[in-house]
Amino acid sequence: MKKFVFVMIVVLLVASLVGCAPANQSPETEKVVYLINGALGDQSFYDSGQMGMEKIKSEYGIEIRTIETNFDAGQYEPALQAAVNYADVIFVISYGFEDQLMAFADKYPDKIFVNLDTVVQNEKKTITSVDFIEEESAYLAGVVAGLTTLETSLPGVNPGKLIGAVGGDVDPVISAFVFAYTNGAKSIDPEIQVETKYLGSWDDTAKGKQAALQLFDMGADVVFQIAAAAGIGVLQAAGERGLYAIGVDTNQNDIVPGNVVASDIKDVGKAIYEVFKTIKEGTYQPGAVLQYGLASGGVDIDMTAQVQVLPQAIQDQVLAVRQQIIDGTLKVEIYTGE
Amino acid sequence: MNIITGLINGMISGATPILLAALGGTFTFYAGVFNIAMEGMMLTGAFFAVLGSYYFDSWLMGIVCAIIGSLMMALIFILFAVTLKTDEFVTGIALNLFALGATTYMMRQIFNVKGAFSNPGIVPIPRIHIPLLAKIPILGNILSGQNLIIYITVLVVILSAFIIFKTRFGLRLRAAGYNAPSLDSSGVSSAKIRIWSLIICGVLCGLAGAFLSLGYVTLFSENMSAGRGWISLAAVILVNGNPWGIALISLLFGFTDGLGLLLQQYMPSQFTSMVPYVATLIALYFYSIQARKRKA
Repeated sequence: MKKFVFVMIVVLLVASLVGCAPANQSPETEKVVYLINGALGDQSFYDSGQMGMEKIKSEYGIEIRTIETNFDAGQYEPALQAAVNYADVIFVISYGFEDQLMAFADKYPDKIFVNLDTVVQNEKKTITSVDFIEEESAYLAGVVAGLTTLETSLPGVNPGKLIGAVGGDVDPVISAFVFAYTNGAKSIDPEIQVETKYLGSWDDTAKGKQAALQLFDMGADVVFQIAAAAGIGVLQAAGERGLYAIGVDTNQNDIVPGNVVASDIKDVGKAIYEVFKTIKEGTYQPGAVLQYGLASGGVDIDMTAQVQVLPQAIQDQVLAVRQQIIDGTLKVEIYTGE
Repeated sequence: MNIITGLINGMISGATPILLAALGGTFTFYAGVFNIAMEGMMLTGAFFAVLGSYYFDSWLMGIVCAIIGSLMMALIFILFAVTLKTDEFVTGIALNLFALGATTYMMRQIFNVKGAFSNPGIVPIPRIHIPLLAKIPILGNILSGQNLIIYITVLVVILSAFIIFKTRFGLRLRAAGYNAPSLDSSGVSSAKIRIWSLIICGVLCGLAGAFLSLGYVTLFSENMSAGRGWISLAAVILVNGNPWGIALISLLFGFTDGLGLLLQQYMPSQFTSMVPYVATLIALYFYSIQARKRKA
């Protein structure tokens, strides 16, 4: 019996090795991996990338796979290895494992690495970085918030000029968001004050709600959520108080209808689609840093909603500012870490 | 003024899930079960609360389902730790990990979403407005208009203190923890008492979960208990299971959690995140000094 089990194990091992081998060598159909440091299901950032993956799958008939590491630092390296073994093109969101990513890119120079949302450059310059100019859309979110807090005819809006933001944690991207949000609001009225709370968590919805309630208690009428899944608590806080929130990354305006006045869109999916298109068309350049701003549609502001609360005048004003940024007549200041 | 009221309301709603779970934990603490599964029971409760509320269109069914879900976890614990006499610590860890995986999986399968499930179809547990109390200036906004579960929690604290210290069941409960063989020799099965303590713990953790997902917010998100079950365990151990002490510690924790957010105006947020834990350590220090004095 023991012998039999042993033989079975050997057979299985050999079979699995044989089974793996072809996948390494002959990429007949192109395989693409979407490797993320978090997990799908945030209804925003990561999910938007997944939509881009689905789109290239249906358009180009390639095989796709998504590897979620769920913020588990121990999984970053095995996940990279798995991605390299499986795919030819790897779209990766690499917060927290930039160094490992550089090492892998140097080790496998034939693979195409596209890093999303931050700039990562390896020695051999093979990683392409997609850098979103989040300042442009966050600036517009600030414009929306500024106009909303001044529009005292809206139900619940007080005469005070205070707006809020709730961030998941202090990191360069969130700081850039807050920086541009503040600038956008102050462009409407320099007296507007911005109060920011950081949760130290990206999934504690209860804490997100508490932070937003505190901001509302302080007199804020609009709160911008920049906290992934925890931010849904912010949107619900706005619903409870009958005040206003701004969503992030995808259109979250209908999650709490009538209280989410706009969403700051970061279209990771669109970036994935467009970069993949350049790979297919042969215009892809390894090591480039691609800037996705308002003009290229990588970021945007979305005010469409089932229940529209923003008066047309405000929407027009926001869209006018948006057009100025696209035309280049208005330059949005980029966050440089103070 | 608004901010203070907000802070107090935040303290109360922040403390409630911790307090409920800790009261459940205190029954098992007295019965001599080293129960660390509150986190998992609470999370399961939170999930089933949303499930029940969404499919039956009723918050009451939400609470019922939360209790059933949490009780299932308690029954697994009973089967392993009490009946089969496995190690309680290992069983607890297994349950917590199982709860996280199972709720995440079920959410993805049943609701077809990942991350968080929020839907207008989820009926939240109502807030109770008490006409007379609401008229008191300042305090009115705190005493009235709270979530139903919060009023239940107040009752549970009083009841727990009464049951544990003033009833025959309470005496047997404590005896099961202090000296199980002598309880057994007096003709009362200590295993049975432990089973009851775990069932009570399951019910209370179910309520805690229902408050999280139907009271505080109206959604379920992966790992939404976010360590609250562990804090409740700390609260139980900190005050040796005294229900009034647990209530104080939970309120302190809820208060400092909100205070941490408020202090961000003046301090870096990495520092303010420490506030609840530093406060807990300070409380622990004073408590142990008090305990020493009492012994001396």
